[in-house]
Amino acid sequence: MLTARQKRKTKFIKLLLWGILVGVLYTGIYVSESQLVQWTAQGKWTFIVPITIAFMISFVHGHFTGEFWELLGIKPKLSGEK
Amino acid sequence: MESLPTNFIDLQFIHVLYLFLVGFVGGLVSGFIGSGGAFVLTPAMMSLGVPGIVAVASNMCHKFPKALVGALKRAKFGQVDFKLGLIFGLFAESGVLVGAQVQEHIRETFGNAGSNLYVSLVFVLILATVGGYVLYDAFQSRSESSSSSEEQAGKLARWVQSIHIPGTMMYFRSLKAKVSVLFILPLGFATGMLAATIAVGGFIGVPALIYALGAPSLMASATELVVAFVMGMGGTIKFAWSGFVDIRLAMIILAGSLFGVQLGAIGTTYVKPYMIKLVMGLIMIIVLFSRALMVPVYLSQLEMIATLDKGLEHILSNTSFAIMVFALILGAVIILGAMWRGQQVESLPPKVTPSVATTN
Repeated sequence: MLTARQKRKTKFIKLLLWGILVGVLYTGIYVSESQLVQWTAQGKWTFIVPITIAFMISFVHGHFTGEFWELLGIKPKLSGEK
Repeated sequence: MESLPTNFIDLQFIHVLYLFLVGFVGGLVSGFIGSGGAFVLTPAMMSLGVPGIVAVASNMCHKFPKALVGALKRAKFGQVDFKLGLIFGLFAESGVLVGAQVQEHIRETFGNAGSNLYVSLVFVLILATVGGYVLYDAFQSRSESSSSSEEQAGKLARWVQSIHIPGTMMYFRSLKAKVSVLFILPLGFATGMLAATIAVGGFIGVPALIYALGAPSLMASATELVVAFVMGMGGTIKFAWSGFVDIRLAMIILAGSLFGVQLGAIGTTYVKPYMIKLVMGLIMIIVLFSRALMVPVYLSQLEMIATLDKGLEHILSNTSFAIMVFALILGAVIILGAMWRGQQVESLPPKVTPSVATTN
């Protein structure tokens, strides 16, 4: 059975890992800014580029932001009277 | 760095920060009421010098992944009806395509001022009628919320649910009833038309799900996120095919809005259902004033009234934008306030709050 401190540590490590992935993705966008913009501006089948990036960011950053609020203690109230 | 294509602006750090913050507030409101953040994002991007079509396209591109994350989050709380959202979304997609054609036709015939006038008039008409009713109903529901905890379907929804058209009936868990797909078609279509016109289809989608189909407010606002995902994805493909999506703008806004959408989704678990209607109704009514201010400007540009002084035009435009920002911030403050109060109640000893909730 994990103690509260251990649980918090695990959550922090998860947040850190997702955060690193988010950092890698956004750094990639920043570094290849010119290339990405040139591709997307061409239109046609390059529509796959923004769609793929959007899905990747939503998956990785979505997990990161979820973990972020949870670590701050902002959690949903799942049952009970409203 | 290579030079950027004509439609794409050179981004400075201050632009990034600005878009991140606007994205956060927009995401917060969208996560809570299912839509509503988008109407500020397009003008916010345009205020940085982004061409209108690129702003709309980039807004769409941030909208569908945000809606996806919001929908998945709220699905964990049991608030999403995916089947209804997908069917509604497909009809909405056809509305988006037709709405975009109508917009294009108006722009070609009457120019940009004509197109802007059309958008503002639709804003004023829809927001005055639907927004007024949503706000009125929010106050009614507020006074009734102590006597009954579960929302009842209204008269119109009960009538829709009572109509049986063979071969078109489908069961939806959010409605706890079978409804003919033929009723969903015009509602979805109108939502898409509105999304293509004013960028916020949810101003029709959510009230339609509540009042015409009978979905509870929480489920309606959560299901609207699925509709927004379908519409946003289709819209992004359409705009990206023509090369209008600025992926940098979309991903910066998404960075902020994913923080917001998660928070807004969590917020829905702390509030009574009428709060969804209240926030939505308030935003709609305030935005109505914002757009109404612009009507004389466009009428003057079309020479349908006496020409307005340039200074007055400038004041009206800036005031209109400021009111829109105020609407969004007010919505965010109400949501955060409601969450704060909800968390305070949660942290009280069990004696004071007998029904202690569980958290995941």
